[in-house]
Amino acid sequence: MNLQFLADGLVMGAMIGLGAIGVTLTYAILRFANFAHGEFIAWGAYIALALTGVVGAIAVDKSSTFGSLSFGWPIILAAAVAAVLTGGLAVALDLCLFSRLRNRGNAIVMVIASFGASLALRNLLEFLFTSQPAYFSQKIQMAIPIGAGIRITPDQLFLLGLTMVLFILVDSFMVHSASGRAMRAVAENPTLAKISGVNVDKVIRTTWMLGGALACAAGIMVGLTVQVRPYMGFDLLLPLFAAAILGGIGSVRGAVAGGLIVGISEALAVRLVGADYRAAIAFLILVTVLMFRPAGLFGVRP
Amino acid sequence: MKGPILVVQDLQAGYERGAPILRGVSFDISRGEMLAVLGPNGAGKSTLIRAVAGLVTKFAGEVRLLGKDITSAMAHELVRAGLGFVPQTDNVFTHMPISDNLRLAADILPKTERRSQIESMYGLFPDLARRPQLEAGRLSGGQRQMLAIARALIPRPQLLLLDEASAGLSPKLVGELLVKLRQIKAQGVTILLVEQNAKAALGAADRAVILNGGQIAHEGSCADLLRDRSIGQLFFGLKPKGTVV
Repeated sequence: MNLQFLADGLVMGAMIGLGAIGVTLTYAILRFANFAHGEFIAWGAYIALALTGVVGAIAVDKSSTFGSLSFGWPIILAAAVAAVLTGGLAVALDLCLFSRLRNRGNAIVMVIASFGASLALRNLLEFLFTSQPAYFSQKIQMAIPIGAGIRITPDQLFLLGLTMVLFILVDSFMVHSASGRAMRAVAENPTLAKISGVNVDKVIRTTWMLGGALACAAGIMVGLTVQVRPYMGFDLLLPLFAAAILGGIGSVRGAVAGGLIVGISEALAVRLVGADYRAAIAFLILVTVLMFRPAGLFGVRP
Repeated sequence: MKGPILVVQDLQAGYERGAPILRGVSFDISRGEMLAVLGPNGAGKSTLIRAVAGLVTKFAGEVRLLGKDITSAMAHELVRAGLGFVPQTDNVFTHMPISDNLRLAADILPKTERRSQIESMYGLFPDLARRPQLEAGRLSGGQRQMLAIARALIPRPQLLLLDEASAGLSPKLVGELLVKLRQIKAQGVTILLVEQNAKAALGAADRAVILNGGQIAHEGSCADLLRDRSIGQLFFGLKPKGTVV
C-alpha cells in the first residue's frame, strides 16, 4: 500500500491541529462552541495575503525565496502581522458581540451568535476579495522523495516543522507561564480563579488573541499548500471540532493529536474510498468519540 | 495598630434585585481578631461572606477594607487589596497539581517573593510538601481544605474569609484546622469564619455575630454568647436545660 496518505494526512492534520487549539481553548474557557472560528482561519489567510502584496510591493528584492521554499521574507513578515491582526479581530468580535451576551445569555445563545458572526464575516470576506481562489505563490514545487514511496514538498516540510515549533511554544505557555496557569484555572473553575486573583476578562482576551493568531497560522498554511478562498475556514470547521473533541476539550496537546488523527484518517479515506467521502470521516470521528469517549483522548472526565 | 480592618455598613445583597438575602447587615472586625459568623441554615451566612469577597451583588450599603471602599470592587481586585477567601466547596483546582494551585496564587506577587511564599506554605502545611506534583483532586477532604487555605494565604492577605471550613471534616481534623487557624491568626492575619459548627467556632473565635433571616440577631464576645443559654436554644436547637455548646 502506498504510504503517501501519511504525509498528506500529517500536513492537513497539522493545520487542523493548529486551528483546533483555538476551538478547544474557547470551548473550555468561554464554555461555548464558537462556529465563527473557521472564519478566523480564512480572515487570517486573506490578511496575510493582502499584507504579502504590500510587503512585496515595497521590497527591494522581489524574487527572493528561502532556498527551495516557494516563499521568502514578505510572507514571514506578513504572517507575523496578520497573526496579531487576526487575534485582534477575535478580541474585537468578543467585545462587540460575545461579551455582551456572556452575562445574560446561555451557551445556546452564544452558539447561535457565533453562527451569525460566521455568516457575516464570511460574506464580508467574499465581498472584499470575491469568491475566486487566490494564491500566495504560483510557483510549482517538486515533491522530494523521503523514503517508503512518500514524497513531500519543501513547503510542506517547513509547515510541519513550524507546526511543531508553534505547538511546543503554546504547550510551554500553557504549562509554565502565569497566563497559561490562569487560563487553565478559568477553564476549570472561573469563580475560584477570580478569588485567586485571576483577572478573568484578561484571560478571555488572551484566549481570543491566541486562538485568532493560531487560526491565522493555520489559514496561511492552507493558503500556501492549497489555495485561499472565503469558504476555506468554513470547510475546516467540522474537522476542527472533531479534532478538539477527539483530543479532549481544553487540552492543547489533545487538539494537536486530534488534528493529526483526523488529518491522517481523512487522507486514508481518500486513498481507500475516494475523495467524495473525505468530509464524512471527521463527522464519523466526532460522533464516535461523543458516543464512546466524550472526554476525548486527553480530556478530563467531570 | 488596632482598629477595624473590615467595616460592613447596612449591607443589602443577594442574587436577585428586589429579593435581597442580606437585609441591612452592619458589623466590623478589628485587626488581629477572629470573628465567627453563626446562624441557622438559610440565615445568609455564606451570602454575607461571598458578598464581602465580591462574588454576590450588593444592592445597598458599604464595605470598607483597611479604610478603602471595596463595595464595587471585583473579586480579583480584592485579592490584591488584602483579602483572602476560602469557599466551602470547589475550593481547589482539582485538575492541577498542588504546586500549580499554589503557583497560581503566587503569580500576583513580585517574582522575587513567589518561591519563598510557596515554601512558607509548605512549612505551615507539611502534608502538601510531600507530593507537590499530586493532582489536587486526589487529596482527602482535610488536605484539600489545607491546600485551599494555603492558596488563600499565599498573597499575604490581611483578612482571611473562611466559609464553613470545618464542613465534612472529622472532629480530629476540625481540631487540627482550628490549631492552624490560631497559628495563622498569631501571624497577624485577621479571620472571619462562617460556621455551622457553633461549638468549634465559639471555642476558637474572639467574637461572634449571629445572623438570622439576613439580619444580625446577636453580637458579642464568644465568652458572653457561650454563657447566654437563650441564644443556644433559639439558634442552635439546644434544649432549655442543656448547655449552649
